[in-house]
Amino acid sequence: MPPSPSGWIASRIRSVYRGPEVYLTLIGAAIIVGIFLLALLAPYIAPYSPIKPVGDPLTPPNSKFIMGTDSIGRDVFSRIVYGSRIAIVIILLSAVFSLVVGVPLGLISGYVGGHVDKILTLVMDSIYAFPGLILAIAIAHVLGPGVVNIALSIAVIYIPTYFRMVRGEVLSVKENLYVEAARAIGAKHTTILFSYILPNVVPSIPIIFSLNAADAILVEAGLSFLGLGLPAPTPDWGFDLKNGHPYLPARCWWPVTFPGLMVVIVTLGFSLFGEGINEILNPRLKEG
Amino acid sequence: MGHLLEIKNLKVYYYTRRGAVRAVDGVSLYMDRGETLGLVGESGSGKSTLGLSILRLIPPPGKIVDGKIVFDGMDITSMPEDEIIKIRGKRISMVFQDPMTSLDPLMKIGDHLIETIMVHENVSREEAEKRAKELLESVGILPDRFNDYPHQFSGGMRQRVMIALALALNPDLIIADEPTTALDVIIQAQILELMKELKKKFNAGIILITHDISIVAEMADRIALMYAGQLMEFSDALSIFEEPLHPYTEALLQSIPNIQLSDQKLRYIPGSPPDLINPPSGCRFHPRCPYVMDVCRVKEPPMIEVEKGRMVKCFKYS
Amino acid sequence: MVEQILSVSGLKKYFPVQKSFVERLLSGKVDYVKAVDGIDFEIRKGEIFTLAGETGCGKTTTGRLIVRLIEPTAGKIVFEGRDITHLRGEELRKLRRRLQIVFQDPYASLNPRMRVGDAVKHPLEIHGIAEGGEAKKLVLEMLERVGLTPPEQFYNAYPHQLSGGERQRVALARAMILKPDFVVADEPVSMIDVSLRARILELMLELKRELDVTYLFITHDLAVAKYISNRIAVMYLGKIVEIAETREFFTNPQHPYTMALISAIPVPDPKAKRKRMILKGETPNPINPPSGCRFHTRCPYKMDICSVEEPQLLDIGNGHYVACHRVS
Repeated sequence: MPPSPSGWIASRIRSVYRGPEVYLTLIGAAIIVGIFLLALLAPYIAPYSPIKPVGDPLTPPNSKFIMGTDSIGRDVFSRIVYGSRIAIVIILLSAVFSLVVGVPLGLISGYVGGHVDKILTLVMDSIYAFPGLILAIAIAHVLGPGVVNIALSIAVIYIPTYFRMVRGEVLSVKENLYVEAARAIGAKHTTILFSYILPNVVPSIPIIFSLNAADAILVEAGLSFLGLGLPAPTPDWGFDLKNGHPYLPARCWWPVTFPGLMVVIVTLGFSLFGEGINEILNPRLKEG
Repeated sequence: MGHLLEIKNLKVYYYTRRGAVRAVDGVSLYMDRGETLGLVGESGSGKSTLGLSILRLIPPPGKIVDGKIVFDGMDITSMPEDEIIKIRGKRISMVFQDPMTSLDPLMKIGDHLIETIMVHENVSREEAEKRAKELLESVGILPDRFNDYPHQFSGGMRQRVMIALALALNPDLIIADEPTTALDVIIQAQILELMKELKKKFNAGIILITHDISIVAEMADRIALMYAGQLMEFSDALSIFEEPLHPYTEALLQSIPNIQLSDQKLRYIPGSPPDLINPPSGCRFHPRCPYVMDVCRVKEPPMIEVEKGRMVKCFKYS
Repeated sequence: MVEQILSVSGLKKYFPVQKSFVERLLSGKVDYVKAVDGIDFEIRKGEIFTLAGETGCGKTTTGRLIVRLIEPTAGKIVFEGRDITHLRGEELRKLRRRLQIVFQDPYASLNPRMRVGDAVKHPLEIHGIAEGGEAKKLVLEMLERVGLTPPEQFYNAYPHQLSGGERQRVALARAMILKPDFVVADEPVSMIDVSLRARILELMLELKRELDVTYLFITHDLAVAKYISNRIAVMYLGKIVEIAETREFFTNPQHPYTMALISAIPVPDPKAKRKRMILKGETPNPINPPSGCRFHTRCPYKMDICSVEEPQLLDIGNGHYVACHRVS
C-alpha cells in the first residue's frame, strides 16, 4: 500500500529537513540572493558613482566613505556594489555557456559510444588537463577584453567537467534495466535519451553549476588581476585587487580587503548552496 | 539440563531518520543441543536480525532494546565485547549467505582454516594444518585444493569452505543465514545433503535461517515462523506442515508449489508485507488474515502453548 | 491443428570475452562465451512454454534474443510467420507492440523517476494508441485489473513507494496494456516474496485467458514450472537437452540432467521421499564447453560415445524430445 502520493522532490526535501546541512544550504542561498539583490538594486544602494573620483585618494573608511577610497579617489563601497553586477553577469554567462555545450556533448558521447565517444573524450581530456587559469588567459588573450569574451574564456575551462560528469552518468544509467525495458516497449532513442536518461542525469548538474560559479569568480578575478579582464574604469573586484595591491605596504588595507572579501563570500555562497542542493537531490546512503 | 539457547522477549530496533524500525519485536524461543531449528520468514520478517543478535553482530543504528539471550546458561545479552569474542567462532559460529564476500581474497583457503584454529586454540601449526585438511575433506573438498585462493573456487565450493570454517572449532551452535539462497538448485541440494551428514557427525545445534520453507522441511527438527518482527508459530516440523495452527502458516503453505503434487491449486495471500516502522495495530497479520476477528485489530495476541512444544500467537486459540 | 506462433532454429549467441590490451596482444585469438549454442524449438499459440535451467544455461539470453533486445550470432527466429531475426529500426519498434517482456528484477525494471501511471501510459503513447485523458483511462483500468487498487493512488505513486510484488504488477501492466500476442516472462517471481508469488502467477494466468497471450516462461524453479506450464524445455550450457509436456516431463523424465534437477527441488513436506540424484562437479565454463555431450563430465550414465559425439534432439513420441545417447 503506497503512502499518499507525493512529489519526488517534496519527499526528498522532507527527509533532509531535519538535518543540519539545511542551514548551510540556506546560508549559501542567502548569500546568492543577497548578491543578486545587490546587483539589481545597485543604483539605490551605492551612494556615489563607481567610476568618478569623489574624494581624496586613499582615504581610510570613515563616515563619508564607509569603505574608504581607492588610489584614484573613487568610493570603494560603490565600486563593490556595482562590481557585483559584473560578477553576476560573468558568472552566469560562463556557467550557462559551459552547460549548454558540455551537457549535450556528454549525453551524445555517452549514449552513442564508439568512435564519436573516443574522439570527444580525447578532446575533452586535453582541455581538462590544462590548468584552468592558464587556459583562460590564453583564450582571453586571443579574444580580447569584453564581458562576453571573458565569459567565454572562463566557460571553456568547465565544459570538460560537465562533459565528463554527464557522460559518466549516461554510461551508468544506460546499463540500467529500466532503460532496456524502455527499449523493449519500443521507445525511440530520442525518447530514451530525454525521458529516461536525462532526468537521471539532471540531479547531478546543479552542484557542478554551483561549484562552477564559485570557481568562475576566482578565475575572473584572476584574469582581471592580470589585466586581461575588463577595461578600466569598469568596477570589477579583480581589477580593484590589482589596483589596490601596490598600496598594501603603505598600510592601505581597504582597497584590497573589501574586494577580496567579496570574492570569498560569493565563492562561499555558491559552494555551500551547491553542496546543499546536492545532498537534497542526490542523497548519499547514510552510514548506520 | 536447560536449553542450549533461550531467547526471551527479544526486541531489536533500528533507529533511522524516519523512525524506529521494529525489526524484532518481542520474540521468545528456545533450542536444544544437537537440534536443528528452522527460522523461517519472508523479507522484513526479522529472521536475519534475530540471527545476528545472537552473536551480537547487529550493525548500528540497530540496538537490542529489550529481552534476554541466554546461551548455555550464560546471559550474553549485554556481555562485554571482549568476552563475546571468545564465544564467537568458538562456541557459536556463523555461515553467511554470500560466500563471495566472506572470504579474504588474498588468503589461501587452507590458511583461513589454520588461522581460525590457531587463534582460538593452543595448538601447533602442524596440528592445525592436519585438522584443517580433515575438515576440508569432510565438506567434500579435495586436499589438493588446500593452497588455492578463494577466487579459484566456485560459489558452491566457497560455501563448503564457509561450512568448514564454521565447524573448525567444534561449536555448540551454528547459525546459517540463507546458506543456499545464492546457489543453483543442484548445488543447493548438494550443500543440504552435506549439512545433513555433518549434523550427524558433529552434533552441533543449527539455526537455519531461510525464506524457503521447503528447505527446512527436510532439515529442521523445530520450526519458528516469523512475520513482521514477531514469532507467529513455533512448533516441531512435522506439526507445522501437517497441522499448521497460525493462519499465516496455513496461507503460506497453500501458496507454495509442491513439485510432488499434481493439479495443485495455489492460494495467494492478499495484501502486502507490513511497514515495520508503523506496523498494523493489534495482530500484525490481521489486515491479511481470513479469520480476522474484532479483537485481532485492537489487541496483540499472546503466545499460546496449544500443546507441549507447540506455540502459536493467535486469538483463535485463546 | 494448433498454429505455431514462434519458432527458433539453430539459434546461437556468442559473447566475446573482454580482454585487456596485453592479453589480446599475447594470445591473438578471441574467446567467446557460447551462451546459446544452437537451439531449436517451437511455441504454439496460446500455450505457456517454459524454458528451465540453472544459472548460465542460456535461458535468459534466449529470452532476450526472442524479443530482439540483442541480435543472434546465428540462426533464425520466426514470429507469426515472419522472419524477425535481423529486424531493425522502425520495423523492430513496431514489432514491440505484439512482442513484450517482463523482467526478473522489479526493483530495477521501473524508472525510479517516473510515476507508475506515466510508466504504464508510456507504451500507449509510443505506439500512438492513445493519449492524454483517453490513455489515463486505459491505464487506470489496467491498474485495477492487476489488483493495484485504488488505481488513482497507484497512478500517482513512485516505484520506491511500492513493494516488490506491487512493482512486478506494474511491470506486468506495462507489458500487457498493449495487448501483445506474445510475452516473455523472465523469472517474473524469483525476486518476490514467497507469499506474493502465487498472486502474480494467478494474475498471469488470468491475463492469458482474457487477452489470449502466449507466454515464454523462463525459470530455474521447476516447482513453479510444473504449476504454470503446458510444456517445459530444459537447457544446459547453451543447449536444449529435453522438451516435453508438463505431465510427461515429471512422470517420465529421460535426460539424466532433468532427472537430477527434478530430484534436487526441495519439497515442502517433511515426510516426502527424497531420492536425490547427486551430480558430481559443477557446471563447466561456457567458454570451453566439454566435447561431445556437454553434460558428460557430470553424468552418472556416461558412455564412451558421450565424450565424442554430441547427441541430437530426438523425437521419442508424445511430443517428447531428448538429446541423449542413452535414449537413442
